[in-house]
Amino acid sequence: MSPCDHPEQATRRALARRVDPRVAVVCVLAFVTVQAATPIEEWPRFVAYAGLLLIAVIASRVSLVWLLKRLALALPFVIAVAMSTLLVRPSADSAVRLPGTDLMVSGPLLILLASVAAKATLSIVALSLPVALWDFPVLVRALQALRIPRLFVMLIAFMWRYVYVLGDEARRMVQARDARSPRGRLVRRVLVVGSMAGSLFVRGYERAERVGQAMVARGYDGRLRLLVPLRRFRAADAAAVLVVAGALCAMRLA
Amino acid sequence: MHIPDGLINDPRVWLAADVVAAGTVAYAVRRESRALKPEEVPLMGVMAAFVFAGQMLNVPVAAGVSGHLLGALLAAALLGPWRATIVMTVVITVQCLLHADGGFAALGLNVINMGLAGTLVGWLIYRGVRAVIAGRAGVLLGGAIGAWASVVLGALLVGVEIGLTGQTDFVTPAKALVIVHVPIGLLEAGITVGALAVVLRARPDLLGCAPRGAVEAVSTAEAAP
Repeated sequence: MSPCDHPEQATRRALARRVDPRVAVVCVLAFVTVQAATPIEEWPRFVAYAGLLLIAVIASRVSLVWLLKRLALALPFVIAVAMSTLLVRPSADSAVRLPGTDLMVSGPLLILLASVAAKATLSIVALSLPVALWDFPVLVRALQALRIPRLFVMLIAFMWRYVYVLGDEARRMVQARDARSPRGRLVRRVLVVGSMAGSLFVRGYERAERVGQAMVARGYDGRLRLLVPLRRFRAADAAAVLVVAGALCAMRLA
Repeated sequence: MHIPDGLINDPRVWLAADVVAAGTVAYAVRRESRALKPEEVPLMGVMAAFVFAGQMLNVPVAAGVSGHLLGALLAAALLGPWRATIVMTVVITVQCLLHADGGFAALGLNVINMGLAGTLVGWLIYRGVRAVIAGRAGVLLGGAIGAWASVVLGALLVGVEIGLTGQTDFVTPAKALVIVHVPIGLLEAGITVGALAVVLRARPDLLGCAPRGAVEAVSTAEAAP
């Protein structure tokens, strides 16, 4: 997996960008939590969640291919649960007929399969929207404004700055290994990767020491100053909050 | 192993995990913030980037199958348990929010399984071994056992979390999950040992060991005047 995951250019002109990033982040996290807390047996609610999310996706103009690539992350889990459903012999009181066949499968596992497929899909798509819409510094600024502990926000910002540097370093190491190192025994291969991780750590640590000293020399005092202005709340923000909050309440209470 | 939303269907389980993880991480942040010098903040940030990038170093195991480092125990051995806890939490949170890798409601579960299992429990094992076996051998052996245990414990925790719903049909998949992670843990142990060996050579001070040849250097310095 590459740390470089740039949002699409098309989202620059998206309607959803009129909403304040702080509002969008809160709305998305509220949506994900509420849908994850909904029992999967109440499936009509999930149709409503999907409808709400679809509106947000259209307003964000994200590409479907990009979303599908991200959805692939949940695929191994869905496959694992699906295989368990097919392979595990159900206990007598939990067996149900698989719709459309005469195969008896475990009811709780079938419910779990529906749960992971539906909730992981909604969650991944929703979490992808803010990343597609805004650049990383804007999102960091939003997290800062949302009173996430200072150390956390700073670590996220520093990590993002250096994950490309160390990621490139790691990629070069893998390339060099693949080009030069013969395929030895597994133990050897594992230890080689260990050495690579060790050198990556030492290089990263010494780089971090230099960065830290250079920052202190330039007046860094442990505070994060971002040149990203926060704008004032607008009608679009209020509308987004009202729509999402209203829809979530309606879906939970209905 | 990033649990997506919905795999643990019961909200009580993931809510409890969120509360436990948030409490532990809040303690770690409060404890470390006091002693943290300004230049150590970029250091921890770069270490988070290291864990992230280290997970890109893959070991080809068999055709099409490859494994990678989890890094929780390695981070704990190099940074100490509480700083490693913060670093792993940052990595797992960013993977969730930016890459949608692992669910948001399941964030607490992921922080416990992939973070705390290694940075706290794995670290205790690592320290325990080092207390018994001194020097470099203790570092390497402790790293190996701690890394293996952190992965197996992480899988065991996932198994327990799946089983907490009380469904008897979940027992077999949960057992399979743990059994699969016994060899995966060996992979983690091997990578961790390889990494610790390099750090022991290049920067033994970071692991609390004297640099090689330091004793001779001191004795010659004393003999010189």
